[in-house]
Order: sequence, then C-alpha cells, then structure tokens
Amino acid sequence: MCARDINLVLQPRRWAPAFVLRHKGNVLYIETSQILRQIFFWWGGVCNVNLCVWFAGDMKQLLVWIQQNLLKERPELFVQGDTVRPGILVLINDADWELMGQLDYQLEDRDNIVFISTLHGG
Amino acid sequence: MPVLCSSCSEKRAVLKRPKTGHSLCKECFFGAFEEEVHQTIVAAKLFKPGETVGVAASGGKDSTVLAHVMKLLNERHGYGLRLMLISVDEGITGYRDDSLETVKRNQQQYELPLKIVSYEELYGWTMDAIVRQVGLKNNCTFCGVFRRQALDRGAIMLKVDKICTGHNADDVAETVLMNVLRGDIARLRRCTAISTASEGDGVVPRCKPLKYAYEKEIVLYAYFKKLDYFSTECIYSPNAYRGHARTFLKDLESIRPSSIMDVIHSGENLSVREGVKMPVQGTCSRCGYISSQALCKSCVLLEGLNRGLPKLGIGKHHRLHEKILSQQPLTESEQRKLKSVDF
Repeated sequence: MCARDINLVLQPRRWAPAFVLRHKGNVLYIETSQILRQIFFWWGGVCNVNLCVWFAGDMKQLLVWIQQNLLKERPELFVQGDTVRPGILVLINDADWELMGQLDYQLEDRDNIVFISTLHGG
Repeated sequence: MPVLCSSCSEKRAVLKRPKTGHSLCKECFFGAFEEEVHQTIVAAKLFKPGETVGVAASGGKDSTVLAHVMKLLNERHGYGLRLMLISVDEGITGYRDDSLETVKRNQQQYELPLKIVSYEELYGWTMDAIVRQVGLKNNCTFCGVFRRQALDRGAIMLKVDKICTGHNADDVAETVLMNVLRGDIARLRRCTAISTASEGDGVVPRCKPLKYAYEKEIVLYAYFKKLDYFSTECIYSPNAYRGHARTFLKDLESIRPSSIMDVIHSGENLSVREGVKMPVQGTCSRCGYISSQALCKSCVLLEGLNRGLPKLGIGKHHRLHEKILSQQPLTESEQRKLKSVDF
C-alpha cells in the first residue's frame, strides 16, 4: 500500500468483532479484533480505504500505529516527524483536527478519522 | 468541547480557514468560499454577459470545484454565461483515462456540453510515447506546452470566448517561487495575472477564478459537498521540479498559513528594472501560434520528437532553430547533443 494514494478512514473502537472481510465497490472494509502487522488488500479506481481498528490513545499514537502497521513503503509520503506530512488534511468526525487539538486529541469510541491528500493535480 | 462557528455562533465549526483564522460551520464555509470567488470574478471583471466560457476540466479536485462553483454563481448572480467543459487527453494510461471517466460523469451531473481533445489527434504523440523517448526527466515540459495549445485548439473548435482554469492560490504561489528559482523574469512578471491578454488569432484568453482560493479549502469544499473527483497523482510527476517548490511552500504554510497569499502579493507587485531584456510577442512561422521566438515551443518540441532528437526543446538551442526551419541537416556533434541519453 503506497502512502501517497490513500484516503484513509479510520474508525477506532474499544471493541471490535472478529476478523471480517467485506468488499463493496471500490472499498475494502476490514474489521479486526487485533492489530494486523500487514494488511493485504486490493483497490481500484479511487483509492479509499475504510478500516475499523481497535485502538485507544491519542492522535500522536495513532500516527505511530499507522506508520508501523499500515504503511508498507515510503512512510515519508504520509508522516513527517511527529505529524502528518504538510498537505494531508485530517478530519475527526468531519471537523478539522486543528479545532480538536491536533495531535493531542484523545480518541473516543466510534470516532471517524479521515485523511485526505491534497497533493495531486486538479 | 466543540468550537462554535465564529460567523453564525449556532452550529459546530468544521474547519479553521487558513486565510483568516476563523472557525466556520459547513454552511457558513460554503457561503464564504462562494462569495469570495464571486468577488474575485467581479473585481477583476473576468466575464461579460452573453459570453461562452470553456471550463478546463481534468476530473481533479480544482476543476470539479471550478465547474460546480461557476455553474452555481452563474445561476445565483445571473452572469449570463454559457458554460462548457473542455478536457485534454494526454494519453497517460492509468491516470488520464480514469480521470476522463470522472469528467464524463461531471458532464452528466452538471449538464454541460463536453469536448475532449487528445494529443494523439493533435500531435500524433501520446505522453506515454513521449516519455519512452525523452525519459523521466523534462517530460513535464512537453505535457505542459502541448496542453496549453490543445486547450486553445479545443476552445476554438467549440467557439468559446474565454477559458477558465482551476489554478488555485497554492499553484500561483508555487509558480512565483519556481520562476524566481529559475531566473525567468518574463514569466515572473506574467504569472500572477488573473487573466491573460487577448491578442492574436488562435489564442483564447484565459482566467483563473480560483486564484485566491487555498487548496485546503478547495479540497474541503469538494469533500463536504461530496463532489465527484479523481484523486491520484500523475504517474510521471514525482520527478517534476514543481514538487520541490510545493514541498517548501507547504512547510511554510504549516508555520504561517498566510504565506501563500503573501507570496502571491509579492509576485503581483514586482516591477522589472529598466534595461532588462524582455521577449517580444510575435507569431510562430510554422503554425501561427503566439511565440517569442521564430518557432513556437510546441513546434520545436514536436520537431525534436519526430526527428528522434528529443532534447531539441529542452535547454537553449535557439541557433539551431533556423537550421531546422530551413530543413538543413544537422552536423554529427549537434545531433549527439540533442539525442536522449542512452542507458
């Protein structure tokens, strides 16, 4: 999975069901009860990956988790130092993360995180 | 505790505008964004009632938002314009063919006529074939030069009076930086103009209604309005020079969000010293397109491709242009200089 092409939607949960794989249109839904070390998937057309993950902590820890578990190659296209690469927008429950405290925001159950890349042609 | 909108103070704020620092809710954001584009259009007197305007659409975020906003403002404020979509097919597999599907969907969603012009029919070369000959560096030159001419040709075929492109504030600021870094004074003076001058046959004036809109706001507008757009990078773009200017600008924006507008402001107010040699606008002797040299860039590039000398348009080989015009054969050393490097 290349960091450059993802629109990543994460839904951290305190509880998640056992491993279920569903494919609907262009989107692969993965619900897992444990943190996967490697995620294999296929996408076509618009690159949207929706993941339900079992995670508790704040945004900083989530970014570390993403880097360790989801980005198979070229992590520098997604994270830069502590935070996301400039040019990638983060929305927490459809609101800009700058309004929620950016990296210090504590994730709550059923939160919806969306990463949108602006670094492509228009 | 959720932050409230600073404009209506009723709903939850969904974004913080980089331009002003205000926190706005969805509806107030839409209103502010559309109002600003409207003010840009009115202040610069971009359109006259009754004109036919071609919207350059690529299926990406900027052109989709542009088509949406132009249609909306045309109806809301009664500009009296006839809108059309023009799209250019460079022949990049895996990128352009997918984004063209998005443009076709946009055509149906916005109910606007669409014209697609392709490099194949205009020049006989697709970008894939060009990259195979030229290599991975410098191919953006070919794509950009050919695309400008292709847009003009498409506009003439559709008989439009003006073209509008989706260039946003980030694009203009990157262009200013690039021209400073490359020492291109002539372009530095022209690049911040919101619309091009309208002289010459075969040239349609162009404008940038989204010139003062930040890329972040365009993306969020498209996301919140759930507009259909295609979002992948061109497969050849990682080696583009613009990427360096963009990285620098994005880092600056994260420290001080107003830097993008400030760079544009600096670019707009630059004046050139007396006595600096500026190119004079003329016409190409082969195809009649506007050019500051004897042959326009597009003819030079095409000549180079067709003769197997892809580096003809890259770098400064003005003296060889006369030789090419008069169809004289080139010497051995000149040929070697112009061929692409073999690995």
